[in-house]
Amino acid sequence: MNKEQERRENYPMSADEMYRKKALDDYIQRERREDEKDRLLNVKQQKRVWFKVISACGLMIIILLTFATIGYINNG
Amino acid sequence: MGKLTKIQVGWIQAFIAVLIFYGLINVTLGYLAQVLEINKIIFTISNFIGCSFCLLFYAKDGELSRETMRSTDTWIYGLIMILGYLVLLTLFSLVSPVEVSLIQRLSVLFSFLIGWFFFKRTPNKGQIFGIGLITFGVFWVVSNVHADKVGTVIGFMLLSATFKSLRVFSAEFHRPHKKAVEDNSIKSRCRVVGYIMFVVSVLFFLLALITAYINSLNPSETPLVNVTFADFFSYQSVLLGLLLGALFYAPLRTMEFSIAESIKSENFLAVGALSFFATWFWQTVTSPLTGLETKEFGQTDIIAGLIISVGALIMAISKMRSSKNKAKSINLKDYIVIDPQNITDVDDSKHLINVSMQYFNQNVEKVSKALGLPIEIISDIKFDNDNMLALKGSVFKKVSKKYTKNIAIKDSLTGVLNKDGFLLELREYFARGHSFDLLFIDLNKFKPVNDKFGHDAGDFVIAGIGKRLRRLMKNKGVVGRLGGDEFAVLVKNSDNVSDVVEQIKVEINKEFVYKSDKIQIGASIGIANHTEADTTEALIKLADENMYLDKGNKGR
Repeated sequence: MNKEQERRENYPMSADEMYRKKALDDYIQRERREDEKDRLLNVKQQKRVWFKVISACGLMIIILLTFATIGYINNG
Repeated sequence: MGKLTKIQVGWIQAFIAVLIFYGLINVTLGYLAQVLEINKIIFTISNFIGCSFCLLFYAKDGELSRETMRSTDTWIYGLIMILGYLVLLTLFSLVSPVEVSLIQRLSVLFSFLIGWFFFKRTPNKGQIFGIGLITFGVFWVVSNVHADKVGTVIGFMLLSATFKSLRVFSAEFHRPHKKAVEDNSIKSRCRVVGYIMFVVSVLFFLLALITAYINSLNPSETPLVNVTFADFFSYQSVLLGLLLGALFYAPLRTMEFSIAESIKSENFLAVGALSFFATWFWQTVTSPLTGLETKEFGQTDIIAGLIISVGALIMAISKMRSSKNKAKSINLKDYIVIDPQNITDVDDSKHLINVSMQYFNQNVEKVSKALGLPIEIISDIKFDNDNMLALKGSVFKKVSKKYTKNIAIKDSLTGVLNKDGFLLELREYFARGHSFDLLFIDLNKFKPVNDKFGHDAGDFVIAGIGKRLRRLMKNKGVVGRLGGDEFAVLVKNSDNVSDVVEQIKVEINKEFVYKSDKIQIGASIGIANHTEADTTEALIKLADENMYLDKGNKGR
């Protein structure tokens, strides 16, 4: 496989495709192109922020719902 | 019916948000507070968290997550919202809820002043008249407040109007949200608003905890922020807050950001002044269901509300009409982003425009054609002394491609490829193994043209030759100017290259007429076939040598 063929077959992933990947770390380790690696790392960071924030949101909802349940049981 | 513009969609969204969402939400809040006796603070916190979770869950992970959470714009928005809320609670303790909703409309005046002084958005006559009516309505309400409280009410009214205006402006200029709008992605917008609402929720949650703690230390005093630890167990406040947050506030908050961005803050606040009318309407319509009475609307309130609503309508209609007339200039916003997050975007856009202008000798029409940009955009960026304007990401990408194709590798005088562009093309031909001949053209008797008729005449002749060669070689090959009076032609798949050479000589020999002077020049041409050399440099050298042989044959 010559260089051009290799480049065509290992085309850069679209951002959507990157966000759909579950095991990004594997791709980051395998990726040799620096610019692609940077994009993958950026996607990983964005995913991490989203996960942290939605988890915090979920936690706050659980806390509030727990209080609400206690309030309902006590005051009905 | 034609497709609606972004601004028209913005106006429709503004009217839907105010007349339907604001009206219904105010009635629902009234019902929850009066009938179910929910705690407003706990309800608001639950509401914001529900809204944030719903938006983030819908938008999924994606771009602008880190940028939004790290952006100072997000935290400033949250702080302004908290401070505005505290001021609003103080106002509620001073006057009735209806009066609060009316005197808050002073924010329309404030937002227009901010827009006018800081962003050069001059209001038209209709808008000034509308602002006058609204301000009159607001001060009429204040004049009916008990004399002991007037001073305090005016003070907090001014503060409330300031925070409300600042909040809407901070939504309009929120940079990650602007980026999401630029990307034209609904999910990105929802994601950004979801993060903002999360920040606001956290700040409100902390505020509630701190005030509940303070209130627990002094239980006898009447607190400004009426929340205790016991209120956190109000299941109705939590459940209804979460539910309404997901159903009402999630779409409403997303809409609010989009509206502020599209029709601008002051116009949105003007439409917002209709919320009094919307609340009154929905409360009247739903009173058989809710049991809420409209007695709370006193005569003064209704008249003031009508004046404010009429003022708001005049402003909205007046602005919509002038927007229609300025449709052309508004469309230009599709190309430009104001005050982008990354200042280098401004530098890159300006550099690209300036280099292009220099290339075309400050001819803005030619730059516009070469880059595929409207003249107004080029002028806006060129004369943007405040360094606020940049081409949108997608536009910059397209313009950069056109810049490379039409400017970076083109000779400005003749329109043929310059030396770099021609060498690129030549290398490409070599790399792909195409069959071709290279012609090296040197003009004869050109120097005397410059000496006798001047450099303008020389430029005229060079430009003319470029034009003739382009026309002749259309679909047959590639023309380049290597410098001065040297041209090169790459002839594709030529079976009979000597015929092409003859045609070129005939074209160049034709007379030029410059300011009634007749100018005639000739050309020496060297030929090299691609099989005669291994590299582009060697091929050019060979063609150059053959050109000198041709020149020698002519005895020059």
